[in-house]
Amino acid sequence: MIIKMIAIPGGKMGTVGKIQVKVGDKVAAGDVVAQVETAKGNRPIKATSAGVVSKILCEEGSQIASNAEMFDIDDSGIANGPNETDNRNAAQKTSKEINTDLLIIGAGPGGYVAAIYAAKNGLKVTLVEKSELGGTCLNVGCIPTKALVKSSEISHSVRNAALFGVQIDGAIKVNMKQVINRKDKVKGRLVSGIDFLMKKNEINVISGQASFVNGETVAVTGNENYIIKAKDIIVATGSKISKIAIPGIDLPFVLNSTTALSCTDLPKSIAIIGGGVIGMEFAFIYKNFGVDVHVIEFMDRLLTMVDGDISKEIQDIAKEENIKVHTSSKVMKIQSSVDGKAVITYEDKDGEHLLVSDKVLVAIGREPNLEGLAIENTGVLLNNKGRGIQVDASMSTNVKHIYAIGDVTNIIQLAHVASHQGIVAVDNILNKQKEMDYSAVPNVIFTAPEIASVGIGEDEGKAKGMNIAVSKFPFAGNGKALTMNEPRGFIKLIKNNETGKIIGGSIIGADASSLISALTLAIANGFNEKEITETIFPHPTTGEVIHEAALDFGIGALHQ
Amino acid sequence: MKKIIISKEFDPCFNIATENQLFLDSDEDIHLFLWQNDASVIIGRNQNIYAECNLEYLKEHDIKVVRRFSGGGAVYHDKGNINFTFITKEKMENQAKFIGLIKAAMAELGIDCEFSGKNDLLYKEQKFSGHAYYTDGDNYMYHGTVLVSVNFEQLGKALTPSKLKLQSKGIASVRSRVVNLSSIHSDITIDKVMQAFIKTFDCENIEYIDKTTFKAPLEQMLSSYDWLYAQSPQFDMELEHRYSFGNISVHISASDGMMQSVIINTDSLQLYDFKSCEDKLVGKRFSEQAIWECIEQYIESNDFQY
Repeated sequence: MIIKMIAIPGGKMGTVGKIQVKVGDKVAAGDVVAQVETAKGNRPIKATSAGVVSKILCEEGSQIASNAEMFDIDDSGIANGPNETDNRNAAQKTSKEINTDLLIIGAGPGGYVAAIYAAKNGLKVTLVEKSELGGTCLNVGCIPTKALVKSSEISHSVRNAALFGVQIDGAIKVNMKQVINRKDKVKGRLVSGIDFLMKKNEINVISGQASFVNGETVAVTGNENYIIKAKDIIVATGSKISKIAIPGIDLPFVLNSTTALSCTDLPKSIAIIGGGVIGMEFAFIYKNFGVDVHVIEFMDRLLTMVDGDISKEIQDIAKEENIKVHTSSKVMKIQSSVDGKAVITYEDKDGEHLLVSDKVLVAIGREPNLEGLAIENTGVLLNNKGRGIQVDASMSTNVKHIYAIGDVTNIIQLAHVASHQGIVAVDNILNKQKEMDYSAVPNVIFTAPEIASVGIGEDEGKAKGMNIAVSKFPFAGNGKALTMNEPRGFIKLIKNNETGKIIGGSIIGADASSLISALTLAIANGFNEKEITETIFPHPTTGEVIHEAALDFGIGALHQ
Repeated sequence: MKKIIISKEFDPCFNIATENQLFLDSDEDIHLFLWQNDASVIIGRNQNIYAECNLEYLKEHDIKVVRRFSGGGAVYHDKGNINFTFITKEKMENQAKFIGLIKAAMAELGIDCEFSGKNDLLYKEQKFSGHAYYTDGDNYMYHGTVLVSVNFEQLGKALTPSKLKLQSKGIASVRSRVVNLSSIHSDITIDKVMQAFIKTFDCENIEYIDKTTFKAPLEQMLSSYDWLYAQSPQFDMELEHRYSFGNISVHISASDGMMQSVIINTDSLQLYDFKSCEDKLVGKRFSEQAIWECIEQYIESNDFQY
């Protein structure tokens, strides 16, 4: 249902005043959704039926004509009946009470893995999710971006097919609708897979927004309302896209990682704000689709979480691939040109520059999501950055029986860390006294080529004054990489000279995402160089680079 | 039956809550509410409190700020000002009649005035009365101020926001040249203006109210943080402060009174990482003082000289 601006006599324009709702808010008929001023009069605009605000079609302070559309209210999910007109009353009247051993809030890779693990260990588990099973990772993060990466790799292969001796006649066209459609199918299949696992493990999945009443009780508002009392609670509410105050950020051509994943038209050009993991993955996706890509990064290098030489390598490769990278650059504002293009003003040491593109993608990162959780009702402390929930190595908060895992703890924003933290939390609930160990957490970035790292980085080791040795081997010396036409990149291993153990490794190059598992296994189990050099690696594979890099600590790589 | 209600209280929260209660209880008669406030700034429904007044000055001089229900810009009230409110049903709305009544009352005092397109009454192109209206459901109110002997020095300072760089959505005030009726005719007093209103409204049914005789349920809501600050439309603000080591500028983006993002920059050559300050401030209520305290604390704790 659309809520329209009231008719103003004389065809004058009104001004939108305070907008009182947000997308996703539930409204009842008669609830005030916005204020509108005409001349010096003010009047509230009210919802005409109950529903959920699905779109806000006006902006505070903007001019609005009679009968212009202001809000879209989705009333499909609202059951009939007078109860629905007052949700607060409804919550008190009709809440079902549930008692459970373990309540997990959030069904992302942290929450749902913890739920399965707990159920397998005999706990009665209730899992609350306000949106889709699988969380950010499955729905708008890891998985969908990887589906796009695959499409873009195929686009790249097809464009370069002639090099491999395959001639393609006729135009190559990217059908973005199909790209998105395929991504949605992959996602759908995984989400229904989790759904199956929930049923198989007899996990009670409840759909709705959870908010703490106190340390043991959580109210859930959804199609049905619940009051849940739990012996233990795991908060796994994940993260949300960080907001940034750049003027023009709300212009229609500005995307974020979520909206970009459902954008079915392929722009000719895109400016990506932020050269971190999300920004760089999208940069290579769009580049491989044939889009003209600019990346604007505030820091002096891309991907600040990896070592400087890897940053430099990916920046060099990006430049060769015609991705325009602007580091040490600050975006000042985004404006719309008369023909609806994005005009981005950014500033570097040489002054202000203007950049024109079809679309803008803001990829400045994600932050812990505590929205609607009313965590303050529990006494749980936030971490010193004042954002995420503070936990100890056992994933326990300062409040007994409340645990937090994953992005909401603001420790490491990685799906597999969240899953592992979930298992550690459940083990502690089961009195098994486990602690989380972050010394060998692998991290993969799906640029082209891929980047992967685990353990201590070279920069980090040096900054900490550790006594380390670094070995390196280039992919140019690897036969398999050459057959793939991917000679760029290198592997690097870090050895602790005092213990002889390999404590870190980074790979930029072909198959980095697969190779990192072997390296992680070595590091997590405290291997030294000898244990790697004496292992037989199959030929011809990219995995041989690990063997060569380990040899480089001693007699030197054989193929270099 | 039409009625004149006169408030004996000078508390702006009580008076505006009372006005709203009378509005909610409106009928098809036209009622007149007359009221006066202690020194206060009354901002429009959709205004940004930070953009409209000098909060520091208000605090120093014990001047209250209240957000009203009607639209339009910020006004300064004190006991040299009198307010009128016509309350009726929306179908009885008749702006021309209301303005006619006020003009007649002014004529009674020997003031010949005209109505401007901006909903103001002007004497020789200087404003002495600003009007606004509000409607909700079928209720309607038309209200305004009449400047009789207002402290203009205080008015000017109260309504001049401190030098902030602010980009706010919502409604901005328009500055006007103002004049006191007492400076046009020195014998005009608040009491005379009130008598003129009562006379022209031609009504003998007068009710005096105060906090003991009239309950205005919204009084508390009006003084809440949420109503006053969080109802400010979304805004971006740039703050600057000069320290011995250089300038610090802070860019804040706020909605519902909460800081959604904070970016701290400095032109100092020293290396500062203000990320921890930024992280601390995000999600908190907007407060200039809190921002500087946070930054100074960070600098002190990092042993920087400033």
